[in-house]
Amino acid sequence: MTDPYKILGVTPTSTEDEINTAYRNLVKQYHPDKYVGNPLAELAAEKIKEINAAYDQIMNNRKQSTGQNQSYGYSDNNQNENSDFRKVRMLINSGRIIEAESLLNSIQVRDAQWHFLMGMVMKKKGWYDMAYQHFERAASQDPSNMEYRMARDNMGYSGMQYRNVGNMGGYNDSCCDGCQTLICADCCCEMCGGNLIPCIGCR
Amino acid sequence: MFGFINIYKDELKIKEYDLFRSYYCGLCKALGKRYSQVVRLGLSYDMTFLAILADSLNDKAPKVSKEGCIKKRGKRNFCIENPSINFSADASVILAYHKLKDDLKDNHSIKAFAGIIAYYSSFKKASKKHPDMSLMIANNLKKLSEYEEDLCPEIDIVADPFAQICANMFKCCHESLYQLGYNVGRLIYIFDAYKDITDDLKSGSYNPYICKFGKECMNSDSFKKGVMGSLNMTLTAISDSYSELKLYKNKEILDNIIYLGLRYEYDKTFSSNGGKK
Repeated sequence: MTDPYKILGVTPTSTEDEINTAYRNLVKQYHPDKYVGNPLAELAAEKIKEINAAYDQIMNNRKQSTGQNQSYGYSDNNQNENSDFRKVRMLINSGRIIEAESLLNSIQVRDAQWHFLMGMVMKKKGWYDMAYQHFERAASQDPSNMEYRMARDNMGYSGMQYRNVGNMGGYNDSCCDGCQTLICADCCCEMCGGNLIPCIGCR
Repeated sequence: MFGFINIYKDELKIKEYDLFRSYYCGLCKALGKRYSQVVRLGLSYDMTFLAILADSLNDKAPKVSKEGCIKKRGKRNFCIENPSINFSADASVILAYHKLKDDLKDNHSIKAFAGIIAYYSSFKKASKKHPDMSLMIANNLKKLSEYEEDLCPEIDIVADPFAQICANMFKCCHESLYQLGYNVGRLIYIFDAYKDITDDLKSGSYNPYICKFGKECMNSDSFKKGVMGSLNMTLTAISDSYSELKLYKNKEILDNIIYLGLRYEYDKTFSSNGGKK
């Protein structure tokens, strides 16, 4: 397979922010909405797939390597909690939300990861206000964690994709103010890519 | 609390609008035929939405007939009759009755009392057909009034009972509609709570937003943004679960309601000019 860094036009030494910007720009460039009815549509769709795969690969690699670094410092006590959190993640992934919530409630230490997982549970339950609050706490307690930040930002940007479908349906946008439109334009691409990144935060 | 889930007429084709109307008229007829003339007053667009949605999950062609209208004498409309519409009729009678009972308990209003008398026999009939649903609605409304009595400040918690009602009602039509129903219920509750802030401030009634953010919340931009964010997430969840459904018909109408009708309601609520086009 081709080098994912080459596809995004970045280098392995680029920072996460640089990669994100490069990714966003590329998605904007090849966004399917731009190619509706265009003979190049298929080509653009393929390109988008490639870009998303490359981005996922880079982000996964980075997440794994930082995860390994962190785990060196854990004491026994932390490892116990860790297994609890792992169990919670498993429960969330298999849709056993009530069990995940009660397990989380039984955990005493409420660190960034706890808030993140609680946010996931709340999101699955449809309690979005609380979910957002938990994601925000997770992201502020551990600002370096990409997964927490993404979860928070994805929630903040939600509604953009929904609006895009409406716009295609011909919705008269005059009641939106200029700012809203700008935010829309900026975030629609982000939304598209956000869902494809395989962390549970983006579901 | 009702009427939020509606079409955005401007973008609907005339044939689609006619089809929508015939579902609407069909629901009205079903209420009259199955129950009494009085309960036809409880006809709502939200229940029409449920009927259309539930019906679109099977591929049977709708049975259309032309019947007279009770409101506009002499006019004859197309009406549809099918199990989904009948179910919506049952559900709306049960829900309306429980709502009235709840109102009576909270406000002791004469209107609610009169409504209960008018609805009673119809309700008995409907709840015999769907005893589980009736119990579910009663339990959730009880929970809701408990939260209201305790002045619960968390919108997520207060919105839950009504969302559960919608979720389970939708689920009775089809298993796959649970999540969609939950978020529709949540959306309706939040819209309602937000719109009622000014009235509740005047009358001093309970409102989760006033409890949490204080009496000045309407003047705060960050508060408004928070509510918008929450509604946005709910709308996204609605469109996500909607797009996973396998629809056999009525797609244009449902798309219109989900992507344009709800959005129009949202924009109308938050725009400064009151949603004038």
